[in-house]
Amino acid sequence: MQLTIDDKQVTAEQGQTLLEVARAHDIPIPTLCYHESLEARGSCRLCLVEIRKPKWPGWKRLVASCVYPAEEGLEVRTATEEIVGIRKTLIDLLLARCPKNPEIVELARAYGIEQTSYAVLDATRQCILCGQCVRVCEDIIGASAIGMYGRGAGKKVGPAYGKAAETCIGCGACAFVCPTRCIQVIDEGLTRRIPRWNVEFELVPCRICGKPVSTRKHIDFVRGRVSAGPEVLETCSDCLRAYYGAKVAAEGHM
Amino acid sequence: MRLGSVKELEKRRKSLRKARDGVRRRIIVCAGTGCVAGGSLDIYAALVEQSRESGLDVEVELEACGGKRGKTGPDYMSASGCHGFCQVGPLVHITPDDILYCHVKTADVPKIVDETLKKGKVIEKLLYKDPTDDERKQGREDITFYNRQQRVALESCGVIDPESLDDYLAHGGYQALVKSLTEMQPDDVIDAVEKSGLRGRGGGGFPAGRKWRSCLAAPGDVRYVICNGDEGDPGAFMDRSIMEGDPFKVVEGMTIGAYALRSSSGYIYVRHEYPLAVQRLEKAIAIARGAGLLGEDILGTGFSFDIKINRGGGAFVCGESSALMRSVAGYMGEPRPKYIHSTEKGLFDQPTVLNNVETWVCVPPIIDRGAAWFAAMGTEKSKGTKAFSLVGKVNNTGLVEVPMGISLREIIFDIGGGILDGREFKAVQTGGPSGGCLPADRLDLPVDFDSLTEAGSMMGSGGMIVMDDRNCMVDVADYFIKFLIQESCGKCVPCREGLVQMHAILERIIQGEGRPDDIGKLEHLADAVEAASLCALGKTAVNPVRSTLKFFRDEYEAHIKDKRCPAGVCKALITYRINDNCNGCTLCVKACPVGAITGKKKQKHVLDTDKCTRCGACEAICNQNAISVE
Repeated sequence: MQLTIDDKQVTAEQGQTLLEVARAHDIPIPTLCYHESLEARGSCRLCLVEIRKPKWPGWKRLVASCVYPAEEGLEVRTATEEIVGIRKTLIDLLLARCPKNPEIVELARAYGIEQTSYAVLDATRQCILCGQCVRVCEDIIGASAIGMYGRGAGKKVGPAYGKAAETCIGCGACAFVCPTRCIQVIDEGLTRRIPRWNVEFELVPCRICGKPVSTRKHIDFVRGRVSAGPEVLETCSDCLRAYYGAKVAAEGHM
Repeated sequence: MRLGSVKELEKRRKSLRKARDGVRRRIIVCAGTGCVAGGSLDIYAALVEQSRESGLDVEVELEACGGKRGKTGPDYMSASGCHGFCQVGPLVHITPDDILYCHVKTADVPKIVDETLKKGKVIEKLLYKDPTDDERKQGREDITFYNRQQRVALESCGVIDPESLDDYLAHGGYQALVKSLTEMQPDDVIDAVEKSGLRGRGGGGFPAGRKWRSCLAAPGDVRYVICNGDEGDPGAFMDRSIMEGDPFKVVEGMTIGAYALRSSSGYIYVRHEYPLAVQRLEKAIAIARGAGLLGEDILGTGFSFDIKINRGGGAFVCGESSALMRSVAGYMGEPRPKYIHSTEKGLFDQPTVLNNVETWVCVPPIIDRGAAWFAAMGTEKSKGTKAFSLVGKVNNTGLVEVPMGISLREIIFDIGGGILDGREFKAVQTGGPSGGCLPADRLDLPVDFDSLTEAGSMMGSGGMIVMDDRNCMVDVADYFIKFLIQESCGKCVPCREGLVQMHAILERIIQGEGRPDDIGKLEHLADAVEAASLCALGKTAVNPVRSTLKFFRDEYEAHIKDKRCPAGVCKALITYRINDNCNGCTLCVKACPVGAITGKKKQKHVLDTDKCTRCGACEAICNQNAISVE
């Protein structure tokens, strides 16, 4: 189908969202809660765009482009004065929430905000509740170790009842997707800690080089899902590459 | 008893009607939540027991009222749902004499039995005293609170026994379902709902017929019907009263909707805080199922439909349709973007029709009496009637139902009997936290979906809070924002963070620390929260601030510039003083918890404003009007 984004004619597939179409055509739209591997949530609202339909003259609407499906003939604007103004206000609000978070501070600067115009209630906060960690843990990893709890201004992310995340396998996917980098994964010797979820794990050393591969719980978790032995699961990626590289060189195949 | 066919149902109805017609008097004790709290269940038990002891022929089941009796039939005593006039409960209503007893206590029962039930005399002191003329009024016909109403959704509420299918049948219950199943095709039902002009009573006012039709047009084999009973607006109790007082009609309305939509499964989502509603709905569903009016092969017609009850955990946001559906499905109650409507992809991703309680109970009368009958009431674009819970600084608090298009003034001053203590009307808040406050010069506004929205408020589900000159509008706006901060799901940034910041600004204005640019900041935030929020809760959350800024801007300015709260509410901005009315009675000296008032008997007392914590205890106890608030 054909539509226009910022007056540029673009082609889209059925089922694509406006954000996907825009990014495929190198039209930038800022996001914080969006990750291409996860189901879109539409919660940070930074990706708001204006849509108009030629069949309804005068009608316009602001929609979250990460969840709005592309439509034939749609006229999309990604950076009108109104939208940029709203984005700025939203970023300003996030800065008031996390005034010391480097990622948010940098984003605010990009929008010309050096200091928030709003009240800072708790300067230590780092999480913007985008929910990417929760989604990756549940939808991609399948561990469901953390979730959102509470509501409104008191909403939080964490393990059930604030205790240790029992089903956490220590894979670190949550930290990987976190847009504000507020989930710490700390490896010391053969111990991994994720303080935010109150968990600690034993790391398994690579059977070749001794460098930590991943947590014992993670390896066991994966073993339950794939047919691979320790020669694969307990070998670090560098040694695996070297092993298969040598094998292919010697035998011509894996 | 299972009613295996329409014929059996009509036979049963006929015999129940005969029994009803043989009833000499009907004594109805209100067992709505308010009156139950006032002890009405004890009053009912005492009435039954004592009248039987004194030899009166009393029955408590409609069925038992039939059979061979003398010329004068028995008295039929039953509990009912909410009568609406909660202000003066517990209520006992006696028909056909139309005697309404108010503020009844168990101690009054012997007298009611002896005087009224045995001798037919009216007990003057239990009658309603009209605050406008101080006269006693005997019954509903004489009381303006009742006689100006027009009841459709609440028609049987407070009349029938909510736990008796028999009573419901005798009152014409299930006539509409029978008509739908035997004389109408599913499409005819949708046509009728569409032609009636019925719009959703839950807040949005979306045409119900159009919603049903688009659900039917959506691809899918399974369709769901949902009744939204998650009424959460502060001060609203329309749906609660309907669920408690006429649960069979909720069930019948949904069954008709399911027939029209070819659905076999329905859910009623009720707040956990409405235990009586849950209990009565559960009972009604069980009885209907046992009678063959729910479940497999309803009335032998081959149509099957059943209902489950889902209890909400007390989250206001779960009244939002997409959050409600997620909650039913077992997820956290968070709204989703509705770019794809729930009529296409709703509960369990299947096409779903969700209407609120009041909307569903309008369906049976529309089918029974015809779309034209319903469409003849109300205004051009808002048909029918609307129930409101009238609360706040008004003489007659309670549940009222009026035709759409009636003015706010008629509701507040005629039905509501005017402002409490003869004070001055200041504002009426309609539509709950999503609505707005309208001032005195909007009192003649017709109450319909579009006029209220245009004026900057909204119909909402029908909460109506009346405020007088002692309500501070900044404080009111802050109250609703605080409510929404607690009740926002916290999913999207503008609603979660924006409301917190609006509250911070309002709070400093209230504390006397408002800054010159605060009004501008509030307006800027309101624009962003409204434009960017994900769901209707966030988009409308700014209405209380916006409407008070529009109509009561001077009050905000008085707080910010003059550091003064004109209504005398905001503690940081008021001073209590003792004026010359003081006769030196020492009441306030004793009442003051911090010892800020000193003075001897019969001498004007002195109030130390530095010690004073502005708790208002002195003002509350003074009977000389000697405490002024500045």
